[in-house]
Amino acid sequence: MNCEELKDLYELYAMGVVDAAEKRAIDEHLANSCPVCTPAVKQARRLVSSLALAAPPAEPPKLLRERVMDSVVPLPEKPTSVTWLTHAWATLAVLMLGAVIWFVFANQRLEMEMARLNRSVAEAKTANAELAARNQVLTSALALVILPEARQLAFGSSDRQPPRGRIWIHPDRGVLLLASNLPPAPAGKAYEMWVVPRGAPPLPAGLFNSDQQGFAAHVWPQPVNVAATSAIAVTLEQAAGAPAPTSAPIITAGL
Amino acid sequence: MILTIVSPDFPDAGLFEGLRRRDPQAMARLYDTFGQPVYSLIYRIVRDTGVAEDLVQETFLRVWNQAHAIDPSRGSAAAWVLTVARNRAIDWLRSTAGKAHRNLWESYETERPGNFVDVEKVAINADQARRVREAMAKLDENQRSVIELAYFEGLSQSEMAERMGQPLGTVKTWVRSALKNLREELAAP
Repeated sequence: MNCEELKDLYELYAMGVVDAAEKRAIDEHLANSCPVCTPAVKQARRLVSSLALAAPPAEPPKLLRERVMDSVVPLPEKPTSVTWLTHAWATLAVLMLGAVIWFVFANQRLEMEMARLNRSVAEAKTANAELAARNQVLTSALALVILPEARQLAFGSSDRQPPRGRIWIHPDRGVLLLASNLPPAPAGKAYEMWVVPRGAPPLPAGLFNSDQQGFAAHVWPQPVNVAATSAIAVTLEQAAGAPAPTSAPIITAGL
Repeated sequence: MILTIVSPDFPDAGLFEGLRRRDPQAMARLYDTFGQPVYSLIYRIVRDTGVAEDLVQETFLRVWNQAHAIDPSRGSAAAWVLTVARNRAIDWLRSTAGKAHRNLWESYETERPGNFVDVEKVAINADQARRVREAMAKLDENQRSVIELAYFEGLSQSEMAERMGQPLGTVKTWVRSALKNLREELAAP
């Protein structure tokens, strides 16, 4: 907008009632020290201020002067007010400090509770995984037991020392071993099952352990040449297992 | 940016110097000079004595706190004080109409002390008041209405058109002619 377009707006601008676009236009002219708009706006401010005198005269209450003076003139001394203010600020500061401390402790408690819940969740997941694995073993075991092609072997029944139990062997489903009185393997050790072919070294058939009650269930879900197998055996090995037996068999079940 | 006291009715150039020193006597003289016109202006806008008293107090407090920005060598202190007073009242009016937010920045901008540097003096006396009232009386009814709506109610031209139920172009014509007349009548002597 040029100065000619703005000339009717100077007083409205001074009153603060122009619209945004008009205000921006005049602001730009003033910012650029426009030789037309700058003095014209000064004159407009004077005229607008004069309009205050168009208000009908009204007499302010007498007490208003005292009130104004009290509000702007710092009184010599108001110790009680100062003391009150000081105490108020001190109280506020203490309250705020207390709030901060409470928040910090509450936050710590919350974090501890969250950590505990996270641990519980992790434990629950582990337990769930163990249950799922055991369920899989039992499902496989059940399938092996009920199949008519499965061959059943017993072990330990004539031994003086346990363990005792049964083995099912199936050409497609593999081998199921159920044992009782089998003490848990020592730390760092595990039980390893072997499929022993006729005239050949034993083949590893998985690691397992027994529970605190001495019960063990282990499935080796791989096809087995039953006709070529002479025995199923179990040895105590390192926890990571071994490619060949390193100790005497604890369990042996011949076919 | 500093203001000057050059009005014949406000000749004491040391007054704002006193305000800067936080001199209570300077404040008393400021109120004695402006108390009545400031109260009249604010009451005309808000139409409530209790509110007017609060806003007068706020006006003088603001002047007191901004006295450091005033130089008694140039400009119009009177125009600035009256602008501060009007803004307090218009702000209150707009706050009651739910339009306060829009006005906050406008008020600040229109009352910056620097705006009044080099502004010619505004006489605060009975002669000048009579002159202004006569100039307003010479306006026709529509012209006077739009000036009053703009100055005493803080309405834009669009808001005036809506309030008066008139086309915006008509309102702009009334505003333009009213301001032309007022400039002629109230030109600095």
